[in-house]
Amino acid sequence: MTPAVASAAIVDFQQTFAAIRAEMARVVIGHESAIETILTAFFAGGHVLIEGVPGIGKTLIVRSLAETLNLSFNRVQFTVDLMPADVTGTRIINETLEGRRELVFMPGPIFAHLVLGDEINRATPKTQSALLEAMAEQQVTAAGTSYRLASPFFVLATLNPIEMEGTYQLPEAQLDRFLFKVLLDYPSEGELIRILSTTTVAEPPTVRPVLSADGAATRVEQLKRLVREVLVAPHVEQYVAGLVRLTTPAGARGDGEAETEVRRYVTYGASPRGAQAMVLGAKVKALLAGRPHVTYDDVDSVAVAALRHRLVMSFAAEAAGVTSAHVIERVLIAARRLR
Amino acid sequence: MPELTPTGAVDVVQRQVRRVRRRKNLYELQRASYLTIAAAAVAATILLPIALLASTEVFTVTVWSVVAILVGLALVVVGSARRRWLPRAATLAWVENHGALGGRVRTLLEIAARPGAKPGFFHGLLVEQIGRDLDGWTPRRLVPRAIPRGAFAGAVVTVLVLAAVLRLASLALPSAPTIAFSDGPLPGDAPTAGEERREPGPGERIVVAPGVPEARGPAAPATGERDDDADDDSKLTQLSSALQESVRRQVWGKAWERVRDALARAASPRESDHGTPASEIDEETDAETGEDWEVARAPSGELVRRRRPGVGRQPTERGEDGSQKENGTPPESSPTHDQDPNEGGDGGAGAGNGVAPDLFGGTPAERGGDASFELSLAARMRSDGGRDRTPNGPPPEAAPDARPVLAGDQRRESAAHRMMVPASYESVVREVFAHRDADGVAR
Repeated sequence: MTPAVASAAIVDFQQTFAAIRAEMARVVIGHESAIETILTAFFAGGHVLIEGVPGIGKTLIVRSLAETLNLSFNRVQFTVDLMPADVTGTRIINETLEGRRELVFMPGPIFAHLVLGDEINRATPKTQSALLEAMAEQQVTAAGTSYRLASPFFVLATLNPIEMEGTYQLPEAQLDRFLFKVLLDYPSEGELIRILSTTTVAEPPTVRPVLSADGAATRVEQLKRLVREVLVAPHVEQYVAGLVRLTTPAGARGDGEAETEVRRYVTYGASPRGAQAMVLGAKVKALLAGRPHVTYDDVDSVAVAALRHRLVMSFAAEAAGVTSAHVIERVLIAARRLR
Repeated sequence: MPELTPTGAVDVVQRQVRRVRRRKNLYELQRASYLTIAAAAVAATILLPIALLASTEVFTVTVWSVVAILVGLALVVVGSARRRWLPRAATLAWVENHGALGGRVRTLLEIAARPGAKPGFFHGLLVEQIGRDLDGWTPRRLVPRAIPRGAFAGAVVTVLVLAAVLRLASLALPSAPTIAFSDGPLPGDAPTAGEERREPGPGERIVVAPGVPEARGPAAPATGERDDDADDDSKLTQLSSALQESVRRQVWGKAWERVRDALARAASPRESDHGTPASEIDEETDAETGEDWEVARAPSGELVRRRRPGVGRQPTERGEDGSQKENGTPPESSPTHDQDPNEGGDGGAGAGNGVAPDLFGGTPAERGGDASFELSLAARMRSDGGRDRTPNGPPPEAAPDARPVLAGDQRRESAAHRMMVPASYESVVREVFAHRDADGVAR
């Protein structure tokens, strides 16, 4: 590939990314960082877990993203009585024109490019695990038959940190399937005023698609493939591996502050999926910076989002109010010696 | 700068990285060398005057202190050079950081070194970006100076200072000890508590040998010096002593050897004062058939012994001592034998503090006209122990040569009085030095 073509591809990626972000910003007030992280995960080919209190725009973000990309979108409200078939689909008896009855698979709401699993922790583990296969394998299995999900496939699940009564904590294995975890905080006062002024008028702003309807999926797939082409040197891979090792109590053997905190507050560290998530996210960041290769800074910029939900914190951490993000920040400082 | 192609880029970049590393390490090597030279020159500048001017003890303390500091400095320099040294594995990271290359060069070379690596979608773009920046991280840009100026200047300055000190030191050769005669008080001969200063009596003579140890710092010979710490014959002391002697020999050359020998001769009696019990001294003097160093004989035959100022104990019964000598008392009855052996032997040459013009006896006319003696320059004075006796028996054996290796080169003392006279002057010289009678006629 000639340098000019590669350079043009990077520019195209940057422009597309910026256009999507700008279009979403018309309806989603604030949350710029969260939107960028979500888009990064989307182009990296991962799924995102959003944690935030009700009413701060989680659903709006996902809906706006789908409209902007001109992709299909489904929303599943997870409740305690939600069954796996309600998510993946089920086989129903269908009578043909000839009068013959046969079992036909009726796809569930997961068969869409973008799926919003709202309050995923309210569903039973059985239903949550139904989502698991779809997220990991991009396929669902019903009555022994596997059905491939269309690409791109992007799951955006939300968690409500309050009202924990009657909820089921997501198992670690399922949490690990999410590329990033994004925390949505309350909007600032200025943002709140803008929200009021833009959503309470007769004609609220709407999102215009950035991609054309017929080739949106293909276009997104091209961009995702471009992300995978970004060069990652062995020294960056080594850095990521060292970073992940430092988050595990077994790997944090030094006497530094970060290592001590990891041993004290972390029960289980990040998995290899965490390393993959960091590299993929860093590739998107590299493209956004106009570089064909990943640097340490790219890795650092996505480390918290990629690792915060993968660390299993100890009771001591909960008692001390130490969050996983705090430990990761410490680890990032300690990991500079690995450079 | 050659234009980079995707296929040949790796070689070009690798060559440039190697050149950067070579220049950087050469710079650090020079820096460490210059710092080492500077440190060594400073140490030598400090040690040189001390080696030449100070006593062995001071030099020993100084030299080992300086050696310790020097070793510490060397460790610091080596540690610094080691930290700054650019190993092959760290070269790429260093180039990236100092060239602000954003990881491009490192990515290209590391991916190329990966087994089975194939050029990816962005390989060409990466090469192109590196090619654009190739001039931005040349060896001259990353290591702007070929020579570490500060370290180099420090080395040059310290070496120049050392050379200057060396030059000045070579001029500071201590004079050989001379024998002076004086009837006045000896310098530094202050009476101690409970002791009255006594003016020299008539006929007493003193011999002062300036330049003997303790009177002048540099005159302290390394080989003959001994004091209360003389028992310290550790390896370190011997080593530093040998070093000091070597430095003096190197700086002052043959001249120092002559001075040192003279100093050693002058210091010999003092040594016996300090370290040898009186009985041993007596035995030694007896063994030397009555020759008694540091004893001056007055024209009247009075034998005067006197300690050198500040050395040992001053004899209190000087008159008594003199009377003993006048009566022909053998040396055993001298004050040397009366004193405490632990306090050392007799002092330096001479006694009293006045000048005796006839120190070496009267004129030939006064002594009958047939007496004569020889006294070579810089020779120690000696007497026959105060006894009038004619030589009999076999001549005494010469004292053992302290430096037998130099015996072959040693010149006879009489040679100092001779000089080469051209043959054409023979008649004139004979005329001048001819013995003449009262009428002036040559005999």
